[in-house]
Amino acid sequence: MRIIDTPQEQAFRAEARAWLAANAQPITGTDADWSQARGHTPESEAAHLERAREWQRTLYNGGWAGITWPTEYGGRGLTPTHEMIFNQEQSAFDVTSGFFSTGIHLVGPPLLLHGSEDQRRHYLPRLLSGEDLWCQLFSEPDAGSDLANLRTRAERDGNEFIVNGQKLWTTGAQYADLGILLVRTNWDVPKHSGITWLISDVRDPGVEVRPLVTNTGGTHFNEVFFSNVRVGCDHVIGEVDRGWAVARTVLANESVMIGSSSYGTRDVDLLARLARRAGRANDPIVRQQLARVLVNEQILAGFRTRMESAVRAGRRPDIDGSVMKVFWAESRAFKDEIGLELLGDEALLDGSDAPENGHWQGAYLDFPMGTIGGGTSEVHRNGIGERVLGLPKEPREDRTQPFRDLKTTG
Amino acid sequence: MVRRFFDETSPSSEVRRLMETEAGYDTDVWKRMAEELGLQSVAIPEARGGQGLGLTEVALIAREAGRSLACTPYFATVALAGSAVEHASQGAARAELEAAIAAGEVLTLAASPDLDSTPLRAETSSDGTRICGTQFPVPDGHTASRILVVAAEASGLGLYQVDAQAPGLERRRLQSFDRTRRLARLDFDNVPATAIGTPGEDRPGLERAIDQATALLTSEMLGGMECVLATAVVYAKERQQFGRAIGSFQAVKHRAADLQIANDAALTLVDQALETVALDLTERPVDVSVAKSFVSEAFAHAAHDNIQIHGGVGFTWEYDTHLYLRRARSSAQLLGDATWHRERIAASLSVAEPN
Repeated sequence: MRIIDTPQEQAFRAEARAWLAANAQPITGTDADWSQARGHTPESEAAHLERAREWQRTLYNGGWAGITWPTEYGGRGLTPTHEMIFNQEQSAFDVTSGFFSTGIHLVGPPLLLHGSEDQRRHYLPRLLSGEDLWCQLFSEPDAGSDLANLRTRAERDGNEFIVNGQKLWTTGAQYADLGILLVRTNWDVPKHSGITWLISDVRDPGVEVRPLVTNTGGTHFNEVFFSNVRVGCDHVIGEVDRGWAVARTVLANESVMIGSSSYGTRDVDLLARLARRAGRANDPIVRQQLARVLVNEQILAGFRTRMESAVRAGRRPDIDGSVMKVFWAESRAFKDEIGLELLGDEALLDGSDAPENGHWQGAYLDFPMGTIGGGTSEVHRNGIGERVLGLPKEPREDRTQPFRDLKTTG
Repeated sequence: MVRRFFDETSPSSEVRRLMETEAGYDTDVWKRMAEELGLQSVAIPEARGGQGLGLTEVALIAREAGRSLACTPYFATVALAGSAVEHASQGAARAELEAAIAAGEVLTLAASPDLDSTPLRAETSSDGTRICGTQFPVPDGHTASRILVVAAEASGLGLYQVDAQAPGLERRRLQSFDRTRRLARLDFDNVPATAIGTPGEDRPGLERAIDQATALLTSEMLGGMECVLATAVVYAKERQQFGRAIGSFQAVKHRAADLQIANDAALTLVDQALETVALDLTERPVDVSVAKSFVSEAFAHAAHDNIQIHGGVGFTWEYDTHLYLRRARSSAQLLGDATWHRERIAASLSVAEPN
């Protein structure tokens, strides 16, 4: 499927390209690119964040942030096709919105759909300009795949809620200003019916952010503790106790966002370079593996094209977000495994003694960012089985009973 | 319309009847395909008795035939011989062959996907061209009225036409692992042949023809994959064990979900291969190999999983599950297996270039 721009789209693409060329450097596909830098230390991560913020501000000032958002909230009021065209052009440049993407893709749409007019006018422009950094306060120790099992409680006290509880796996909370916070406001109804969405100021003294060290040594994630944090009732998004439906739209956006990310350069070319470097370019087994990587890349590119053509036509995509996400996660793990293998003895090393500063070692350990982050592959396979194929759900007892009576409530 | 035709003419009972016959297809149905629906001639120009449509439509027919496991010489006639005629024959010979295909004759192509290992030799002298050698497996080679032959002449590869009744041609039907696709061995002992292209200069056209036939085969395989997944899902919803539908168990559900992912991937790659073949873009050989290598494994895997989901009944003769497994696994070998196609992909990556 080849997608061809209309003359108007061509003009928009040319405008985007010219603006990008004037405001950013082309991506090189090497270690010199700041936007693709991985293997973070806390210091490099903070520096990365500031560059991302700078880029987000540049986008906003240039009129390229929130391309599909209404103009009254700082957006440009154009179509998803325009946004896609801009993103395609942007991927050729060494820039990223980094942590700010989370807010823009995951907080923006639900605020636009369910937020009050005051909330939209206040938060959306600040989100687009990079002024506020948002994090997503969803998961908890006992609410991972079963997110609706969450137990962070918000109790009404006059015009405020008092929040107590613990969130986990919060990306970027140490840098964030605000969070979208899911809390339980009603324990006497089934689990999905007593959940509310709040806007939380994570700089409040009652909010404690502790870094969570992952297996690579990275501190991408955090634990966030809430102790008697007061949140005004005007910070509720949508209606009290009706937050689950809003959360589901966010989760669907998240899996599509993760499943459709790409890095511009072809991974197979990087691996071919490694194979040559290792003197294994004529090894038939290596050649078979590289071919498999290319097949996977073509499948992912094809999935993105299918998604894109649906967006352009304004119809429902014929490819499910979970299909893309699971396939992407597994392809990524496969590719990183091949990369490590091609390092030979150097695969035993790490950090600055390893090629590319330990990139392949880090990538190998980091596979759960694909297969667990944004919903485990198992949860997504349930979704494919039930939503796409219409297979029956597993019998469950937790859909109808009041949350406080569930065995797992503790 | 095409799906309805195959639903009607190729139910399981017909597949099972035809797979036991010598010819392996129903001549009346084949005739209806040509005369009523014009399925053999969709991509042939209108001026020569066809409908002037394109590869997309041919691929759709192949996909529906694959879905129903139709016992038909469509693949041999249209995908193999038709592609060779389209891309490697010229002039009056081409017009005559297109008319024959449109009229419902059965044709096939004796060729190896790896043209470098073409086993047939052609020699031209004052009394014409003669073919020697053995080619197998040739789909529907025992029933075709005309056989197109790729043979190596001193000047290079050429495409020739051989009459099925020509002296020196021995055709033997072979027992096929896939009972729904007939295969033959053809022995050529100085068989008179007519060049239908330009011997010595036919190679680019033949490469394109074989890529096109391979892309069409992947489309046929995709249809089979879709049927296999649909069958597995229906069974997983119906079959009750431990007091509930087995499809509600994650072990079964996740297997089905993986088949859905593979189907989506196959659809994506097959569409892409067909498009680059139709437009003859430079990515054509790679895209065809990407599709064939993936679909070869994915279809066999799907047919295998379908049996697993069916449990015991899945490996009885009575259930069609084994017919799809046979089709899947043998199609995987046809026109280059997954490993061969992956090597073709690797060669395109210039892996061996200096760093």
